[in-house]
Amino acid sequence: MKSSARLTIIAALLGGFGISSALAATATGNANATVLTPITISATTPLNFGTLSANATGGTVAITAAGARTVSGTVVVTPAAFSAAVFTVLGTGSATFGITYPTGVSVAGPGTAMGVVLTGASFGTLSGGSLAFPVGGTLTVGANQAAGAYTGSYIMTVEYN
Amino acid sequence: MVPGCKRRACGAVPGMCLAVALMSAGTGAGAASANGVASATIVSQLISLPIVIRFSVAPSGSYVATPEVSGPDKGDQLPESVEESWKSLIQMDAAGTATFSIAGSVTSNYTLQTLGAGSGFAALDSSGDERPRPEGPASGLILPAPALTEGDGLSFVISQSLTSALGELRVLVQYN
Repeated sequence: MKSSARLTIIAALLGGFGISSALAATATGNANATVLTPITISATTPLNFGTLSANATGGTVAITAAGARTVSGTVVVTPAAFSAAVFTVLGTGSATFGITYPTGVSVAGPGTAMGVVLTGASFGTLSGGSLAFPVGGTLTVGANQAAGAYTGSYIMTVEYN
Repeated sequence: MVPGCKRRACGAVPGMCLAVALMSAGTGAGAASANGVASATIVSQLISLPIVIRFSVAPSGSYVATPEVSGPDKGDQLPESVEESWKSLIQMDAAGTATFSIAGSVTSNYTLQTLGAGSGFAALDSSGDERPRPEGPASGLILPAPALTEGDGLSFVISQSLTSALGELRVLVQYN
C-alpha cells in the first residue's frame, strides 16, 4: 500500500475517533433518596361512651371525632364523662399517612356484647414529625342492656403514603 | 451487585440502582399499629316510686300541721332526672325534717337537691290563705349521694330550717 494510502487510512481512523466522539456524550446524573423515620402510633385517650341506660328498646350512642355525643332510640345518657379516642403518630417531618380502621369491634361485659363502629379521618399529615388524631365511634345498645362495665380493644394501623 | 439491577444497567447508571435499594429498605418501617380501648358503663333505669314526704318537727319546735304527703305514682320510666313537686299546706315554724325515698338500680352517684318555695306557687298560711311568696333564691341544698348497687334503694334525710311558709317543696334527683 502506498504510504499516502496508509496515511489516508490512518487519518481516517484518527478522524473516525473524532467522529465517534460526536456519537457519544456524557452527562452527570443525580441520585436521591429520602430516608423516613419509622412511623409509630400510640393510644393516648381511650374511646369512652360514658354512662348510659338502654331502657326498653335500646338504640345507639355516637361520639364524633370532635367529641360530640348523640343518642337514638330509648338510650339515655348521664352527665358522666365520655370522650373520643386519641392516637398519636410520630414520623418524619410533614409526611402523610393513611389510617386503617378495624371492623368487628365490640365491648363485652355482664350482658350481651355491644358492637362498635369506629369513625374518623382516612389519612393524616404530620407536623414537625407528629400528629394526634381523634377517633369516634357508634355503640349499638341492646334493649334492656344488662347493667355493668363493658370494655373492648381494637387495633389501629397507620402507614406512610 | 445491587439486587434487581442488571449488570449492564448498573454499569451504565449505578446511582439509580442505589436509589432503588434505599427505597426498598425503607418500606418495612412505613407502617405501625397500636391497641385502642373502647368502653361504656350501663346503668339500669332510674325509676321513681311513689315518694312520700313526711314533715316532722324537732322536739323543740312546733308546727301547725304535718300531714303525710304522698307524691303521684310515677310508674313510667323516667330519664336521668326526676323532679317531683307537691303542694304543701304546711307552715313550719321551726326546724323540720323532710324524709323521702327514691328507688332505683344505679351504679353511679347522683345528687339530690331540694328546691324550696318560690317556684310560682303562692305560699299559704295556716288558714289556707295566700301569702306573698318569700323573697330570695330557692333553697339550693345539694346533697351528694352514695353509690348504689343493682337493686338497692336509698333513703335520704334532709334537715334544714324550714322557717318560711311552704307552698311547694320540689325535689330533683339526677345522676352525676
